[in-house]
Amino acid sequence: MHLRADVGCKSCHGSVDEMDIVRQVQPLSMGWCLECHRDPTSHVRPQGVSVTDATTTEPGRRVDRCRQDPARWSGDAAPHLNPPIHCSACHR
Amino acid sequence: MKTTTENGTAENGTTYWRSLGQLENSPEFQEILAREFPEGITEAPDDVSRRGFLGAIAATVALAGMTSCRKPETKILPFNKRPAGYQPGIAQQYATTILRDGHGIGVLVKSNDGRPTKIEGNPSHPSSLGGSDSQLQAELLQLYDPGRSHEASNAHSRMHAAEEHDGHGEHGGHADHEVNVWEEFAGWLNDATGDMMTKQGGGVHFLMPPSSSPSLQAAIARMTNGSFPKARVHTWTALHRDNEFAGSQLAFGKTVATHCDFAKADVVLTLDCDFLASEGNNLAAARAWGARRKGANNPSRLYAVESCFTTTGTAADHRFRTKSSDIPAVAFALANVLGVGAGSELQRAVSAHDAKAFAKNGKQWLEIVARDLQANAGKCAVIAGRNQSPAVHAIVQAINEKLGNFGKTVIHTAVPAGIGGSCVKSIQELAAAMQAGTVETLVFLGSNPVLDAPADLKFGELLKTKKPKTTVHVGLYADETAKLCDWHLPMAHELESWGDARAFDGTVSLQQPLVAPLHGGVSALEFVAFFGQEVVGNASYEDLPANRDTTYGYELVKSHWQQASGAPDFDTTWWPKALHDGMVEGTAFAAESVTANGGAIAAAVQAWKKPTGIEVSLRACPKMADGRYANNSWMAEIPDPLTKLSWDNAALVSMATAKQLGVQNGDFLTISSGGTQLQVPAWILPGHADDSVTIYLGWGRQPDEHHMKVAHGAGFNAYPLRSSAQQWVLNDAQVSRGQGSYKLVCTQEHGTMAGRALVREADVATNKANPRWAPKQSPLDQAAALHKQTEKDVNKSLWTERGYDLGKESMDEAVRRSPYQWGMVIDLNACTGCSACMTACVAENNIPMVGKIQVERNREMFWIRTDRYFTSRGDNNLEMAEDPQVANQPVPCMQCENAPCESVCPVAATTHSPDGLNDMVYNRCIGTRYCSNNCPYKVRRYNYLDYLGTVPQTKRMAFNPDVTVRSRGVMEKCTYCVQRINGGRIEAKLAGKKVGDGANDVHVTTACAQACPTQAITFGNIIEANSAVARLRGSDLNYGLLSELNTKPRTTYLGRVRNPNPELSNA
Repeated sequence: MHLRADVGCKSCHGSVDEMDIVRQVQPLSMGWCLECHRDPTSHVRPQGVSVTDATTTEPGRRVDRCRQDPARWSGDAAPHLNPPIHCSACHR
Repeated sequence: MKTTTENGTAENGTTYWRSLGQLENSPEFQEILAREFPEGITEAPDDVSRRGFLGAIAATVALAGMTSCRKPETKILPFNKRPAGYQPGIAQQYATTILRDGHGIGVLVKSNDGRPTKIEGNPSHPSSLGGSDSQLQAELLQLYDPGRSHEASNAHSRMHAAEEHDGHGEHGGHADHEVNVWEEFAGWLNDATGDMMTKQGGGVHFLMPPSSSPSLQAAIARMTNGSFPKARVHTWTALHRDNEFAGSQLAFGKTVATHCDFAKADVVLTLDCDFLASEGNNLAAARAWGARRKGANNPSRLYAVESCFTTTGTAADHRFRTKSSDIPAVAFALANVLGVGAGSELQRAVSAHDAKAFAKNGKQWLEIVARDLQANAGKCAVIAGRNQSPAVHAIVQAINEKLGNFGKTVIHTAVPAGIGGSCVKSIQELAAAMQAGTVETLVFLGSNPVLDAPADLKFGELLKTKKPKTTVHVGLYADETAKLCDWHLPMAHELESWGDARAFDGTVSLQQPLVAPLHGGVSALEFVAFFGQEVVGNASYEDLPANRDTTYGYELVKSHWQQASGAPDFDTTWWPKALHDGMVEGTAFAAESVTANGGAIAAAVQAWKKPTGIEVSLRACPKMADGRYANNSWMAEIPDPLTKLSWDNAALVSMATAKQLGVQNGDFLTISSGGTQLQVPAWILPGHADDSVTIYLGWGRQPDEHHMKVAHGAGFNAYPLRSSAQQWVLNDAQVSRGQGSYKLVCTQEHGTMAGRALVREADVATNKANPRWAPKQSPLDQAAALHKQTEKDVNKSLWTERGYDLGKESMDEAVRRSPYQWGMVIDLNACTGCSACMTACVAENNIPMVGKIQVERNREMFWIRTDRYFTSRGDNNLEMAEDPQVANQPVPCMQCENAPCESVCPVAATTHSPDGLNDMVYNRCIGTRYCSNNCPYKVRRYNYLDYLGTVPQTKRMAFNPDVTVRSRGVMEKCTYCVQRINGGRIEAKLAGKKVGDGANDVHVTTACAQACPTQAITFGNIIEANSAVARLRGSDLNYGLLSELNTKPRTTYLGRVRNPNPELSNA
């Protein structure tokens, strides 16, 4: 699901390619999830950059270039970038 | 203007009541009403004082320490390498077959990481059509029942176990002393086979339930045609169809199966047949009947004549209660009125009984029914129950023939091999052979005759006094019979074995295992082949003792069908397709043309004598069947559809009979017949026939309490009363008041909603004259009329609402952007109250069973309940209450748009989602229970204790991994199966589709809607104009429960339209 929304692997898993021993780099807490869900356009990869591309640097996970294409990424025109923030989205 | 009085009398003079206590307005009922929660609900749990309870909590917290406040940590082990074609966490569905009464019902089983977690009906299978019932759902728990037999045993192993138990087996270590019973059994069989072959199988007897399985019948035939021609196979099941087949023999001179097409029948008369729930091809019948009743378009009419109120009786438009032993008179009188066999011996025979037909107004009633049937000749059906005599079944055939129903609404087909014989005769022959001492080797293959054989055969004693040389028991449980046998081998559950069966219409259905046998069981097919020492393909009988996860069963089934199908492309096409579909299309039996033989029926009719006095009627339990589900806690706890009794059965009587016997609910009755005396507590069931006592079979088993904990001590066993001659109805029984009383637990007064128009009913004429009668019963509508305003004006909110159903017009952006608004419509026209929805919900949502003591305190946890209201004419008229009708109403969470629960939660643990769901967040909940107090529908359930924490490990395997397991102190309720909704949404998003009803859409439905055999429940997206649920919400019959409170319920109901015969309504 997240891959389809153009969220890079690194956003949640960190730079696994640089780790000797795999470790958790993000808190994976509800607040951390919601940070992204409330402001999705700041956290997705730019068009044309693969989600698996490990070379892309993501300072603070923010990649603002997607905002350059508002027709694709904003409002009602982008139903596929409409991450839910209500409780039962995750709590089932 | 009020619709109803405080006592619940509607303006048309009909009273709606849930129990006699309510009708009489007894002080006890008033107290229940005033208390809101029954006594004890706020008090501490069993045998623990408040101080002790707090101490226990403190200890738990201390133990949990810093790691977690609720759950201990466990380590998990991931796959080292992932098996090909397998995606962890993605559930798969397999088609297979579950047998009932020897016939196959097609099911789809969901498997999570190799673990079956949910059973659904197979939509393309003719005996299911996608529906299921409580018992089919409960097969899942049956698979994981920790009480199932875990190991093979014989005298040697039992002695060994006893020694270990006494502490003598400690030296030398456990493993050295391990007895491999399977190896020993194989050794015995090897030694014995030579001797058996010399005798050509003489002295070898099998006892098994009737089975239509073609490969099993073929294996038996290979045995009896091969080395053991003198071996005998007896069939026995307590719920046999002997009467139906004997009736068919009488009428036609051959055994045929009778199928009624309820989709085509405009008028149906049932004579003691619960065809919608516990008899025959009930799922297909319920689907066809429901289709005729849904939405009240051209509804069929159902008349029921029965002694005990059944699910079918609640669905009937007219119900005539009479003793089961008087129902032959009804059938004969009907034949007489219709002129069956005019001028022949048959007519003289039926007319001779006519005068004795009925008490009270029965004769007039019957004449009106007969006229209705005659007016619909060729478009009606008469059906008789399995407890009625062969003569009744035969005369019903003649009646259907006379009405021209043959080949139209009543179809005859062949009976599959292995089914059509007489079970009583068969087990009598076995008992006689045992008496004569000619039985040397006796194999019980899935039978438990010590419990359920006719009492006069005294099977338990026979096994002790006339014990055959060797007795072998193969069964799911180490039950009453197993204890008396030399050998016991565990049997594989149907979800663990390869096999096949024929559906009721003859369609070949295949059975494939979802898991390897959990406790190393064998299937009946494997055992028969093993006994015959067969070698098939690559698999040999010799593999079986060492490893029961062999390909033996697979090879047996496959080789049978390779031969039987004769398909040239068997391996590439036929077999994979049959396994994928779970069935083979086009294998149903062809309809047969039959003609009734009046002379033979006449003789049987003449032989009938009207019995007098009180009768005792024994029936299949809608939950326990013949006792096979006795250790299944779902079946024990889910309230009975009619009595709403939980964890017990009882002797059901009418009010008048109870008065005559001097008993009240729970008082013991002494019932004696044929030298047996039983004590069973009485329970008054309004609508039960007078002078009749009904006891459901299958309860009160007394097995080993260490293994079968659920069955132990639940209910009362009626089998000791059941003799070969009187299988269903006892006419010689003595019934009197016994000593003392017993606590029966019943949920019928839990969650009472007194005095409001909750269930809304009308008849066809009213519906025609005023199509919007159902919503108009709302007090709101009436208030609007009074103030000359619209309903909307009266129900105006003080603040601006988010307007969930407004879609793009909503003020809330999140709501505007949500493409879905979920809703549910329950069509009361099709609901039979069978409670399949409740069991499906339990299975889907990991709902705990709480036990009898907790149910008594109103702590049952069902997210959907089935309310049952009795209705009778007149205000508080007890006489009319003897003959009530029943209205059923399933009540899940209404998912109110203005949810009263949300506004009172101090921690926002229950909030609203933009797609209109009333979310419940368990880990926010602090257990104030304010929400439950403020819920007008009383659908929120609270975990008073840690119910799920005590569930045994094996039962935990039945848990749905997509649903949170709740702990103590947490409120829970129906979520509209939000895990299914989200699963569907994700699937749709990934595939670039949407969730909906269209052909290209991803389909999402709730567990209750999926299970409902009549499809009374519809779930979907209400803002999509073309969806089924949106169309139903727009129906004239649509009304919301208590919508006058402006809760804006998302779950709505369609008012029930009864189709009474105008002649009878005025009578």
